[in-house]
Amino acid sequence: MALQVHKDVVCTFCGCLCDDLEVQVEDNTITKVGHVCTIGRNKLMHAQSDLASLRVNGKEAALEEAIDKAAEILVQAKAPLIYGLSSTTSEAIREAVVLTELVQGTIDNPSSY
Amino acid sequence: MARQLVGLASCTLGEVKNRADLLIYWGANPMESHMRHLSRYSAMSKGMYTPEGRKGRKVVVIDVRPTPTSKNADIFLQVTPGQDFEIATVLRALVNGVALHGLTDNSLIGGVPLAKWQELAELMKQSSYGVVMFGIGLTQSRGKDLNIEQLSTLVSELNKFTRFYGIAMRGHGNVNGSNQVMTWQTGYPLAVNFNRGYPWYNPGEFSVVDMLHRKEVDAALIIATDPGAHLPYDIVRYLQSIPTIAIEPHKNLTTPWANVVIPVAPAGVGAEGTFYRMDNVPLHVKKIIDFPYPSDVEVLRSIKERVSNVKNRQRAGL
Repeated sequence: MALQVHKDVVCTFCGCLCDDLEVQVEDNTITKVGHVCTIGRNKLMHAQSDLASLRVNGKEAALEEAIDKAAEILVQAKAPLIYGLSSTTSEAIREAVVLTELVQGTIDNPSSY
Repeated sequence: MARQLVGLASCTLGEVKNRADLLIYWGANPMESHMRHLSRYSAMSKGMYTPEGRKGRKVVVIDVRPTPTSKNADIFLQVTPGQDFEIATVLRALVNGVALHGLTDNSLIGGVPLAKWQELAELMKQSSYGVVMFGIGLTQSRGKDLNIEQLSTLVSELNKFTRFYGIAMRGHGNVNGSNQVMTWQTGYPLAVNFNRGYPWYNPGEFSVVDMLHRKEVDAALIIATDPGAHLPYDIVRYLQSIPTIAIEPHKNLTTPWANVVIPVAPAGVGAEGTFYRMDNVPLHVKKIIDFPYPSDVEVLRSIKERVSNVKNRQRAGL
């Protein structure tokens, strides 16, 4: 069993971004988290459970199909909204801005209300 | 928004740790919401010029009710809800030595006697490095961004006497990052509309709650946020009636009804990238385990490619 300990891991839960976490990984599963608050530990220990499943209109689907459907929805919309972006990477946010420009939509995050 | 109007004198959490001798938490309860904030960065941390840690710092909490953070404060000012603008205004007057006609030491400002605010104003002026950390108690209550505008002005005015800074206690991991990225890509931090083909900014007109409330949106792409849990009920009902795509690692209160759900590897666990800390410091987050799903970036890039293909075909008249 391959046991790895990752040091100086950044916790992505809150705006503190504590960057001194120790995360123990066994066989691609997080088994222990050190230097962390209870919320962060909970988030990391449960990162691999309760995963969402790929769905199109409630039915299981393949990734390509879901991406096609998503593109179709955005192209057909007259006023699409791209919203959220509070827990993803800046690189992803950058893509979201480009996509918004392309579909001539609106982009916003939760700090507007 | 307040920052665009009056600016904000700010510092990093490293400076808070190493230098601050006066800490004011206003409408924020980091003991419960940002649990390691106090020990790593603020009240309890020991730094280069703050070797005594908590003993060497004065801690003030302004909040509407006692919290675990206020229990550990030197001074707790329990205020009546919705009076933050008035309080900040009075503090500005006291700091600047403006006479407050008709008020006595016992006059209540936000439920607290003026004498107490006078004490706080003196404490602020006498500190050698003060920081006010404000949370959603201030940004989401009556007055909203106007509260921050007044507080930011107070912070800059305090710099006539000493070094004083403000930091927003940002909630989710990279909510600051989305403001940062939108600003360097479009010029505006939020509520940006591209209908004219170029960025157009107008909070109130293009902010999520207002737009959905007026039913001005006919499709939505939700990324790494759970509107089903956070937005008002009527708005969630409206979102449910239009085509909605959710890009999200875990099951939440949006995934059961979204038309398209695309699971992704969670950032900082299954995907690497950059996050902005609440003090605007960008940090690299690592990928530590493999997920059976692609990253947000990959999914968004694929959707973008599909959309541009369709648009190109439309343009070519095919």
